[in-house]
Amino acid sequence: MSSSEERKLILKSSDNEEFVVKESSAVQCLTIKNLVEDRCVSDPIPLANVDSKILALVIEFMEKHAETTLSNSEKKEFDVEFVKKPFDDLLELILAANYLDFRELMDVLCNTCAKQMENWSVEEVREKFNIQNDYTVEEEKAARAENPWAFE
Amino acid sequence: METRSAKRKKLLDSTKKRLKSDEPQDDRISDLPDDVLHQILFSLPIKSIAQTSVLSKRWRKLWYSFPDLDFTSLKILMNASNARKKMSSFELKGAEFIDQVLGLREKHTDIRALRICAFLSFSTLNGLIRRAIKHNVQELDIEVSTCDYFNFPRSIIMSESLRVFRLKSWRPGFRLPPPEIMKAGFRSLSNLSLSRVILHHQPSLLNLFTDSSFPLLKKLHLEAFSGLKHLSIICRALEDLALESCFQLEDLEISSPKLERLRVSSCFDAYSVSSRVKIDAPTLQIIFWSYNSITEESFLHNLTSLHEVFVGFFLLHEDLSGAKLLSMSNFMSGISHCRRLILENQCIEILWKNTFFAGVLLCPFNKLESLELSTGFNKHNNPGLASLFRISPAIHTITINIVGDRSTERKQWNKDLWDLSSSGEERYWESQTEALNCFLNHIRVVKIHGFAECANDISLVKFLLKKGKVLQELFLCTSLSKPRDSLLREKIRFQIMGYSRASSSAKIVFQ
Repeated sequence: MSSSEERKLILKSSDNEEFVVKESSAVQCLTIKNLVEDRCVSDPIPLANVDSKILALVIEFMEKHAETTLSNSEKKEFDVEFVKKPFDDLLELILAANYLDFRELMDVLCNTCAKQMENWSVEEVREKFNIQNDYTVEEEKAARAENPWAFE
Repeated sequence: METRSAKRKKLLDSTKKRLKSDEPQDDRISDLPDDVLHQILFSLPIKSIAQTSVLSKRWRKLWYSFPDLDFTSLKILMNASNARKKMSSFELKGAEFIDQVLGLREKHTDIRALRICAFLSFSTLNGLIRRAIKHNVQELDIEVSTCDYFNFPRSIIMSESLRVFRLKSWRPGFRLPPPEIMKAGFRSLSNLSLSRVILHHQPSLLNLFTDSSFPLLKKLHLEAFSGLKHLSIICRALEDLALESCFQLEDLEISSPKLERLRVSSCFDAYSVSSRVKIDAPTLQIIFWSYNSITEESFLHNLTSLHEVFVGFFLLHEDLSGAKLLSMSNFMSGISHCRRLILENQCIEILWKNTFFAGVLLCPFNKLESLELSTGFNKHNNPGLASLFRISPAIHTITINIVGDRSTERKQWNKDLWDLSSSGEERYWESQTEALNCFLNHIRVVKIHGFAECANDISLVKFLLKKGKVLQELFLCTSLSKPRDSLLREKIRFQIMGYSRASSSAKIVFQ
């Protein structure tokens, strides 16, 4: 059953793959919403910062959350499963959600990221996120000493 | 346009990158912009956020520019007796480390919110606040325990950035600066909460919350203002007012033009013979009036937008003086525009009892749609209940909570009485049919909690079923009883189901 009033948009990933989405789902991304409202919509909309794999995931989340027939608890269940992904993907998704200004997706992803960080020690965080430690040994000691209350 | 081979190579490279899971990946998380990383950190407790400062130099910068500093997760102020033993050496020094944290911040980074709950010396508190103000803090939430009385930190008053301010003190409390000084500032404040203020030397706050002071204030919460006797609140933008635990209050005057929600609980001096409340608020929608002593005089005017009222009075003696009775009656008249009314405890019974002797009538509640009350519900309450029905011509939902010990009322419902025309209670309700005509034409839902199978309860139920022309639902919720009563209960339920009904769609639900 197709509704002819249902406006569709075409989103193009950085690697030139095109995705058709309902306008009503896509406007959850404020970046897209602004384009639509300012009537600057070219067909297709190019998203230079998001590749096809990530864009497909974003669209999956977007369409799930746009469904009015789902209850909030059902959406939360979906979210829990959605974030069970390798870390690289989560980080890429955060970048994409930031670029697209997709509040709901950002909140879910940042929360997941934070929850993981909370359980790790400083060394573990560094290892899992692969953060380059640019402190010298003395500098790091000094940094710790600045906030001793945090390390008790 | 990319050539096909270039595209294939790109795809291959990106796939290779993702498959290299056992080799060290790039540091992708630090690629994210500052505000995104801040957003990730928001869900962490402040200790964890501070720890990230040793990850790398960039992360150190992130910590020192982090906008929301919520130290309440450190649980420094737990219950007074145990707290001192469990506190760390840092916390024992009076949470001075918080001041140091603020001092180390990046010079030009603003603090959006600062929340503290701690033991602090007064000088530390003052220093903290001054630093926060320098960093253009917007939201300041402080719960503090000090050794002695202290003075309200004046550096806050002239802050241009402060929008939300909450200061809650444990014993003994703090003093306010003179009204002229407070009024001169707080130009951007929209939300103010003050708790445990000492006002014995300054019992009148008639000039503080005037028409021109606190120009943007929308929400005001005043709690435990000991010694406060006279209070006047105007504040032209105020929408939400809460007043709690002001036990010496004698005179309250509220005339805020935009007020929508009012909450007053545990206020007013029960022994005063000159107490007074005056409310003039045309946009007021909700009133929560709980456990307040009855004032000698009540003036409630212009409450035309009133939607929902919760009323409960604190009574020193069961027998009211004539003046207090009139005052209570005036109060009820003042709220008579409301659509939904909940009466706390059994103050309504006191009113009925005294009304009978004093001849004071309640004015009609013409817009009342829904009423909830509590009563002991013996047969002496029936005239009072009937008069309440009479003054509520448009009511469609009633909830009656039957409270108190009902063992004396628990007469066995005698099956033989069923067929006879009736008990005294039944006859009483029959006699009210004409007077309650309007009520019977409107009542749709009746809920009775604590329903027991005794004559008084059943005669009301019988009356409602027989005469309620548009009755839709009757909920009878019984309290727990002994198991041997269950057979009797079933019998009685069966009988109730068989009573004649004026409304064909009436449904009885037993719970």
